[in-house]
Amino acid sequence: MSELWQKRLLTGLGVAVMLLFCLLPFGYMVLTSFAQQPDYLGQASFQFTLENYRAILTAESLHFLEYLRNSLIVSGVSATLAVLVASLAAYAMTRLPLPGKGLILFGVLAVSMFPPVSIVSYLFQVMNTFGLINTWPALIFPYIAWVLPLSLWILVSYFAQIPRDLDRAALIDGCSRWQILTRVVLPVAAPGIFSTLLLAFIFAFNEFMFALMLTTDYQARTIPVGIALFQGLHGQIPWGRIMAASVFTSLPVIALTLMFQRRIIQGLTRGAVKG
Amino acid sequence: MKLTHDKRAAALFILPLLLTVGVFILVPVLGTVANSFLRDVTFLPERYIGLANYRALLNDGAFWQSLRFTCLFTLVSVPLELIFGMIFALILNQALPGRGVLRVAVLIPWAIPAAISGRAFELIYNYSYGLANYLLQNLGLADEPVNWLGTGWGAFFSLVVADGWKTTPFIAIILLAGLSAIPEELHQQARVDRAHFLQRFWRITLPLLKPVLVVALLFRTVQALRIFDVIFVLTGGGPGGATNALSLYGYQYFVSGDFGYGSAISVVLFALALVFALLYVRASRFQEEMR
Amino acid sequence: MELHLENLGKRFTTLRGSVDAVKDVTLTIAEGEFFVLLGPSGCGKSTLLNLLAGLEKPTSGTIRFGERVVAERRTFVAPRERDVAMVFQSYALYPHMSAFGNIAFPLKVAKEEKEKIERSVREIAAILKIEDFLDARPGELSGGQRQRVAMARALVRKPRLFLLDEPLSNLDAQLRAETRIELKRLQQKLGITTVYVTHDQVEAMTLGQRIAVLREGRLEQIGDADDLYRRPQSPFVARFVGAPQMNLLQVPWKREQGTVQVRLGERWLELPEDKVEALVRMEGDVCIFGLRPEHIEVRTESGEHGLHGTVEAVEPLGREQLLHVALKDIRLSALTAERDFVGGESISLRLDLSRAHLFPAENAS
Repeated sequence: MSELWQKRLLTGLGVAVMLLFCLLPFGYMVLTSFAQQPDYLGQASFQFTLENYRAILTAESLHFLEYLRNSLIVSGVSATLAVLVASLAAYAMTRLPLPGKGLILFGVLAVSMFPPVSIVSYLFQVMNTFGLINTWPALIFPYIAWVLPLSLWILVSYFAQIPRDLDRAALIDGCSRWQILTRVVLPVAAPGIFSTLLLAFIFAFNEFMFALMLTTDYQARTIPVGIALFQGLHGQIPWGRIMAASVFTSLPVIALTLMFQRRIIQGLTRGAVKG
Repeated sequence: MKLTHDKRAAALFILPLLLTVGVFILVPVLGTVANSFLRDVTFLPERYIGLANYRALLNDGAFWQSLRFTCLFTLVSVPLELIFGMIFALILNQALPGRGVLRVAVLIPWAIPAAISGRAFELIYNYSYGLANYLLQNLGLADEPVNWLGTGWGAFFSLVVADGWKTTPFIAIILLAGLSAIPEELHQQARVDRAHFLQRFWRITLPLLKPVLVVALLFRTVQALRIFDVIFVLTGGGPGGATNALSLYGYQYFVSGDFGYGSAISVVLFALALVFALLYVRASRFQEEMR
Repeated sequence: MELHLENLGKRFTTLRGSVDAVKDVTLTIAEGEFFVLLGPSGCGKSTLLNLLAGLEKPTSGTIRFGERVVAERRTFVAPRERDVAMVFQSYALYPHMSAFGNIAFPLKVAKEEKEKIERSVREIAAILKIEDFLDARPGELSGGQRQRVAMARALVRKPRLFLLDEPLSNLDAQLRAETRIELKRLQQKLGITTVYVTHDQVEAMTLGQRIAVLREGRLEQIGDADDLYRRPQSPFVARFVGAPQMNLLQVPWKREQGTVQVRLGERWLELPEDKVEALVRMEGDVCIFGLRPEHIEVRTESGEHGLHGTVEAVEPLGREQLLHVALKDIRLSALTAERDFVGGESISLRLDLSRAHLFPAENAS
């Protein structure tokens, strides 16, 4: 067999395995979410229903929409603020005289590797003292810090690509450093800012341990925790509803990923292997 | 004065970052370290007890089991993820029709929250009607359904696969970036030299990819050491504490109100992760300088 | 506005050590003058321009704009308070704004009224003939158009000082020549004190009322084009100014019977009396002898005073030819319009020694 064919065969096989591996679990999730009973595989009788979706969207006792709302607000706010803070820092890193730049950049990188469990208990005590447990701010602040390293790394690499002459021109045109950032650098880096925002949002959205410990019920609990703790009433796990909720929750994230695939990959690889 | 002006701007611009990271990450870490020297249990007054928590750890069989599992999980899952991530990356790097679609497909597992995919795998591993047993039996690979989550080794490998589902694609994306940075001329030259594609992989691709591989390896090592979400959802540390990772073990003490002992466990994990985190930072720095 | 630079110095300190980009520069630029900073890359001319703009802070010395000190040990005026405008080599147009937005930007930052901004932009756009593409983004413009937009952005505020950092080097040759003439006309019309940085001596000679030649951060010579061409004060200036390049040879010299002679090839040539003075002050027995190719006459027949040589290479320059001639152990280039010479031909050269330049021998370079 010629080398070309060997290679084609291997590649074809690889593609098949890869697609199966990546998509099968998700397909299974989708299928189950539309099934009346989760045991359809053995029975060879699949009964289609929208009941699971109706339940999670209407049954108030499940609090699904509240979890989702909490997740969207907490992730949205913290991603936005993190990108803002990271933009300021990235500007200082790439443009301004700042002692210990490397130390900050790599220090922040090290911080991003800390195990959340070594942070969360003390945070719990502090938030408890301030009566913030089970509120949005209890999650928003730690999330900002949590997604900052990633955001900083991506933005530094974007900002470093913007020609310094633009800053110099803006300085001469009468801008202050703040004006250079808001009127020149940020607009020019807008695509980069956008992909950073997207990644920061996905990271915050996926966070689990902080949300698990710092919230107690539907008032602030986020959707990953909501789904993880989703249990049936009588020992019977309501798989259909869990999968419906999972699919419903994953859809916006997947849709974002599909739409901005290029930007996300770019962002991920720019932050090297961060996050 | 411009220079002090710029210096002041630099300080103002960097301050929010340092403040946020300091207050919400560094201070809590230090707080955890401080707590680990306390008897800090709900309803009892706090008391400084020195290294007593750590001494207790030494005699805590569950702790040693937890540490062993965490290390074993890391040692098994990370190399597997790297190997498969490498294979995926090599495939994605081919000029195939529909390459964009493939990349999206690979990103889907990455985008889904681990807690949610954990739930999906919980169903997949269901003894009586889960996908895993269904496939095994219908493909004729097993006569009896496998009790995936009910046995120690079953749970271990179930976790490796469930975690790998989410992280392998991510590694593939990172390695893909490294692959596309390798100049095409090198491959063409090797092709002219009539090197087989496997030879080309061993002699050219792999050595040139080494820095990226090292970074990915260290990065994944830290992440595997601190694994929590998937285990919390999938096995809850069971059966019988067989998959009780350090993060989970510490968390259980926090939930039960024993902040002192839980903190001591967290500090051990922190120290372990820090070693690899610092190695990782060093490797990234090296990579940065190479650019 | 008159510009005073006194003992100006700029040292960059990096991890690998420090570099003096500008060393002890003292000069005055007159009100309305078109002043050119000329030198090879890395000579510090751009740094000097940045010091004037306020983009860099000097490590020593003083800059005064008229009576006002803008940079000194303890004083530093930020660029936006200096009322300077600058055109960059890369043009540095804001890619996310239209040409109009770019030109209006300095006025907007200064919070001018809307109508006034509109009027000023239209006015300067008319002068620079860019009214037709004010709505286009920089990415949609040609190099020449971008260059004009950059000029318009700089001039729209009617600055007191106009700084240009190699603004023409990204244009093709023909456009560059046209823009040069236009720039000179524009500067004369507006009468703004202008400092122009370039490495191109033709640009410097055609534009500058005065030219400062910089070398490794130091001022090598200041003068008008004629000064630099006719009276270079160092081999560096002699080599850098004038095209084709001046012949510069390290040659032995001697004093004999009240005359001074230099040896070219195997012949000792007697120098005119006005050159003697230059040599008298020199030490050693070698000097640098310079003669421009246009001051060497090429003859076919061997004349009595001629130096004999062989044509090694011929560079046709259109109306003239530049001949590279080998004489025994030296090489000279000569410019001739006499007739077409070919390689390998034997010729003789007559040197116009009254145009010769003599410099002390250099130890290095």
